[in-house]
Amino acid sequence: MTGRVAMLRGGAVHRVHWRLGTDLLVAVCHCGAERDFDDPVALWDWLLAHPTGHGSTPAAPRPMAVSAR
Amino acid sequence: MMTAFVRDQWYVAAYGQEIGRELFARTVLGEPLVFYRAETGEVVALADRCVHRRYPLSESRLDGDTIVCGYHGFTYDKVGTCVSVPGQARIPRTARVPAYPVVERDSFVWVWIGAADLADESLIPRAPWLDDPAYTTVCGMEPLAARYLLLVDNLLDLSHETYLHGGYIGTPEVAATPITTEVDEDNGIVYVSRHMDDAACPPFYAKSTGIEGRITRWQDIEYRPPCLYLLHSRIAPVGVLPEEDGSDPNAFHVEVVYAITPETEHSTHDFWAVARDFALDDQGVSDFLAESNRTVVLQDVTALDILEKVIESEPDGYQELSVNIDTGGLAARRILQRMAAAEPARAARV
Repeated sequence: MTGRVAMLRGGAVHRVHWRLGTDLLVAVCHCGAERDFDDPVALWDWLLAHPTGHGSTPAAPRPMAVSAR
Repeated sequence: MMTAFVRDQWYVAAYGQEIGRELFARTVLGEPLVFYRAETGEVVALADRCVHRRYPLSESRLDGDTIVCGYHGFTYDKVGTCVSVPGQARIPRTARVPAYPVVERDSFVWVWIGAADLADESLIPRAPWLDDPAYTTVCGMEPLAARYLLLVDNLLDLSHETYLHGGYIGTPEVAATPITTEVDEDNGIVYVSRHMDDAACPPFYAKSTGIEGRITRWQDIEYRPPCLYLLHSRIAPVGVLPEEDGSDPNAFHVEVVYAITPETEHSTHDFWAVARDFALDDQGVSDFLAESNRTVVLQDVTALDILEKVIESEPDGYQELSVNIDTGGLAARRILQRMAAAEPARAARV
């Protein structure tokens, strides 16, 4: 897939990418945990439950470049 | 859909140009306010009810920098203190009306609704284009007979353009563009990006910017709950991106600004402005942007007024279905709910 857009620079940014050509949403937590969803309500429940269900060893926040690609 | 107001926040009450030496009434978050511009130029906001018999001060007259109540003549100064009571020398200790913190910024009059001692000017979100000489701005305000959350929902999902605003702002590339929704949890910002890397240039933009050929077109929503909504629209030749330092000299920009100010639980002031950094002196471009945006706003108003009537008639907890296009709207709702819920906790601590 193409590179991911990241416009906000804060330390606790949740990102949701709509995977082009599919009905899938990719949720990326600020801890780096990532999961696919087909329902935005379940998606936000999962993101906001951080750290529950986000893996046993949450990674440090990942710096992301601000770019279009 | 809950309609809880978010208090202890700045809200746009008016454009600065609306406030002069005439008394001006506007209700914000259910609180009737009266505004005027003092002789020294600053904007004054007081509760719009005389303490005596609740007569609206906005139906009264200005005498210098005091309001003389149009019913019995109770007279109030700029901070709401009663300085004259008819027929007697003694002024009761409780004879005052609340004064509201006001800041004029970016062409708007912002008013703080909540505990006045918490009002912090640095919390006002910015829309600097609106009074920047490098931009030309057209603007307006439409009354909406619907709760503000319906407008938030509407503006956070631009895919409704194709259906509600067909022929005005919908474009064929939109459906094939990846959408990213970001939420800054610390700062309470929702950002929805649609970056079209290679799109046809609509004739309006080709003519007004001089761009020839295909374009990179970004449409980025930045919502700063509860009141300010920004739509950053960026057009550049294909492959031209902002500089590393954040400047963007080789693109053209249209900044669409909405201020979403609840009037009552079931009505909203829908402020809209469109600022551009090209064709600054071209009246035809101004007329086109004003007319097309106003048309779009009025189409939204018609639809949301209908929707409000439907929702009002239904019991709380009605069933909704959310799909992918609602990702940003759901994020905004959650932040607003969190902000509204935070207030009782803060009040309890005091």
